[in-house]
Amino acid sequence: MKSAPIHNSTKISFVFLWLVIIVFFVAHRGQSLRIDTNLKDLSPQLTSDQGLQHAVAELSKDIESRFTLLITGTSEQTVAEVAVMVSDRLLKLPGVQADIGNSRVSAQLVDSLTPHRFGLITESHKNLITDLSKKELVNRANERLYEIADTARLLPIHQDPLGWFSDYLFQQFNATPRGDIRQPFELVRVQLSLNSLETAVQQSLQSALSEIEQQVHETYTEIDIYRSGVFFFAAEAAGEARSDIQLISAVSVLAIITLLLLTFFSLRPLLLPFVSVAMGIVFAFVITHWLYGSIHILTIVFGASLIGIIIDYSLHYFYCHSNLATENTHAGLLNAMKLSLVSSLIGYGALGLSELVSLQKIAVFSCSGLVAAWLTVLALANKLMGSSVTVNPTFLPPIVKALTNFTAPLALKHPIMIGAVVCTLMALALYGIRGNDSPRAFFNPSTALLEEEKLVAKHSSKLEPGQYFVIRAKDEESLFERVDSLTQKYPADTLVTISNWLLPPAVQRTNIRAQESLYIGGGAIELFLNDLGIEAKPLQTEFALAADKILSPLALFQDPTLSLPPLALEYHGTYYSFALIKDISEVKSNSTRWQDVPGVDFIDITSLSSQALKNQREASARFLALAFLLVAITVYIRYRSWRKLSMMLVPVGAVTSTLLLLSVFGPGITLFHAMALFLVLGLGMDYVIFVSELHNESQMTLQAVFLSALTSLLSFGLLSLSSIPVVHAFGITVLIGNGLNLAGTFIYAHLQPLPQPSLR
Amino acid sequence: MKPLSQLLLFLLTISACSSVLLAAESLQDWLPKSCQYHGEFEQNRVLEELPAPLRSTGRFLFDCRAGVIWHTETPVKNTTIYTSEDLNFRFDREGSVSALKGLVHRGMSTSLRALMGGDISSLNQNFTIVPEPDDETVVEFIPNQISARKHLQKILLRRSDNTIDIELVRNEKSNTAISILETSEFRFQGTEECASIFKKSPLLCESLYFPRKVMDMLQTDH
Repeated sequence: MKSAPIHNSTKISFVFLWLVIIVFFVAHRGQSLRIDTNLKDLSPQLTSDQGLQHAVAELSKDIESRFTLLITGTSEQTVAEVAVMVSDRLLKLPGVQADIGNSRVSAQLVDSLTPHRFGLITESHKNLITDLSKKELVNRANERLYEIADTARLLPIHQDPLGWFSDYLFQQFNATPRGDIRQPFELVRVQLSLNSLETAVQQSLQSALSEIEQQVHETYTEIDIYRSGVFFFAAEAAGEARSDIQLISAVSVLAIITLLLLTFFSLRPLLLPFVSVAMGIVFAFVITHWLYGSIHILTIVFGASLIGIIIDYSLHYFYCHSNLATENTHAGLLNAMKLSLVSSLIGYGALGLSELVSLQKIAVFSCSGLVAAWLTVLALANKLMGSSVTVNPTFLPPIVKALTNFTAPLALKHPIMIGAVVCTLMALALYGIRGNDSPRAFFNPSTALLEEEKLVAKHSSKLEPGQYFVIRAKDEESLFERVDSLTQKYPADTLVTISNWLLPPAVQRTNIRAQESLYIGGGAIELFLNDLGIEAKPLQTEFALAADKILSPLALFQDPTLSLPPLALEYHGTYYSFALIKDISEVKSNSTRWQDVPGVDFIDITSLSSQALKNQREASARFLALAFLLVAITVYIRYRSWRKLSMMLVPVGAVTSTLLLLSVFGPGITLFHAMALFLVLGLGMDYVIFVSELHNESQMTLQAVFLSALTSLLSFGLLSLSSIPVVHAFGITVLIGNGLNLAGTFIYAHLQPLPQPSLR
Repeated sequence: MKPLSQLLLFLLTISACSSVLLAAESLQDWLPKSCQYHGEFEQNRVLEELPAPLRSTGRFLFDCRAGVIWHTETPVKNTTIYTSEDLNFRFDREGSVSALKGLVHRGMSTSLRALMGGDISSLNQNFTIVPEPDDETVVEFIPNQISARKHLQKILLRRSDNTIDIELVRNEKSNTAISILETSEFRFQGTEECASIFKKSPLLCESLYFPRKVMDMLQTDH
């Protein structure tokens, strides 16, 4: 058999591919390549308002950077000892801040607020200044000194003589009693300055935590440690994804090798598919990493599904150079390969029109991978294949013959095929595409982790992480006004806002002015301190400068040393704040009250995510329709025949039937089912193009299509067994869709012009 | 050598455990057995920033079911009332009453009532009880909650023939020592009789025995 000639342009392009890969790895030598496992990348933008999006992202980042460890036991003393031990061990890890029961944060907060303390007093204290005489104020301060509870002053007398700053702080941070839980416990709160969603961070921190827990359990058998936080859910999901992907890839590769060995009886035919697949994936990785700075693990998974298409090029090449081929097969093969590449590029390119960055990355990965694999097959096929390939006559040919015979009665006229597809479409229209846009469809945490989360929440009076209010205003004063108006709409202690930490700047100024009479020479403070033998001058001097030390919410909440949640932030001249929810039932029972306050948005991450996923799913459906249209135009340009457009019936039928089956029997169509339909289109077109271009060798082509489909069905069948909902959705869709593609292709083969399908 | 050191370690562990148990058991003997009693106290507060300690005296009344009235007589007059219902009050020199709120008062109320009532289970829950190795008349209570230790490092309970001293240690340089003197049993027979101990209006004892009523009254006035 004569080999197909290799064009110079193919050679040059192939060398260029290698150059790109070499330059990339030289440029990145010594650097680790970033593979993201953060499932957040798959979440679409929640809102089109940039400022709101920024504020929500900042709070989400803060929530992701924190986790809590609950330590319980039978003795308070042991629990306290373990809490100290765990906290000390965590503090030794890079980028980790640990705090037992917020004691460190509280101490830092007192230190930060102390310079601003003259403005931070309660309303009742301010009233005392007008209600009481100087002498009465001094008497009251004296009485307080002897009170039994006055041991708990936060600042010494010479800094806070009346104890008003202490009172303010105790009043503001009053609402954290330990509840009615009788079992001894401590909470170790952890904040990470590293990206908790990075694989490397997750792995090293998880292993350090396991080591700490093991050490605790060896020493203290009665101690239990429970975990809570986004970090643990992300780490669990990433761990599962890694192990799933490793297992599926290994089994998939083994199965495909066995299949090829059974078909060709030789190891040599394995070379071309594996070199082309490897080249395609490496080149796709390089291009995606170059463009986006990192690559997501799911991009690799979805992109790797390209193997299904890439391997087609090699398999058809084998068959066209096998003992089954004839002299005039080459021209048809090259045409088929060109058309297949163009239709696949159109299909995947349409995915790139999505707003979701993860889909754009998949489009880039897939298109670049396809081109590289295609060029590799053309450039290396002659060298890697050697002499003609022999097909095992006892394995695939009898199966393909049986399938050909079985599908022959179904191969009716075109109008009947069109009728069948129209019927499917009508059934789909009648039943409706049942969408499933719940974010929970993509999230499958273990029951154990959910139970731990609930237990920690019970002990830590946790705030709602996925529901809160965002308040915006043009300046800080208006921000406080709106926050307070919102707070008043709900029962006391329902919301946590900036007002729980701080007074508005204007109130701080008023407070300072109100205290001037106390601090001036001969005022109550001087009188009281002098009686105690303390010099008043340093405090009076400090008070004189108090007006310059008004504390703004931005300064407090953006202070990196304090690790407070970012309750106040500014974005392009607008101020944003959050009202976190302690008791969601109060908010739900008064669900519309917040709408009376201007500049307030209620954020419900779950429903916003649902809406965003729905938008993306619908957009994907539109892009799929566009892809079908573009592929149809390409087919028409290639054949200049309306009749040839009937080949589109195979992928159209497969896609619509898959949608119908998933809607009726599945949990509903998610965004990732929709994404997988692009691959169903690509594979379906691939099969019919080869059958059409090589219709003279139809039985041989059907064997190649069958072998190719088997490899895809094996890979995607395995993906459908994955415990990761996203991967499962992708796998099951392609499994069904491509099964239907295969059936449709066999039927379509009977409709091809002479010679009719026959066994050679 | 190894078996010897293990034996030594074992004996030390046994002795440490038994001394803690002993401390908890004997604590019951230290504290007044009566559920209702009153008496006098002396308080001596040392603050790092003050050149001289703050001395005060007064009277108290304890009822294990109701709570504590802590009345400072000299050099200033005021009264703090910690009730079992977690409603706390303060009376100033003129006798006007106000509610005391916040974690500080809640914590002080729990500790003081547990100490005065010899509530070992409550003390055990909130403190680690450590006997002084060199002085069998002293027991240390260290708060279990790490965050609480910032405001109260430990409580020392000292027993002598006629008095019990409670020392609240904030840090090395600041503490409040309270001596409980002259205690007598008491049986509640009405707020008037109770108030006569303090020579004050019955409202004082109403706050202890009927705190909700007083709280409602305060809220209505407000």
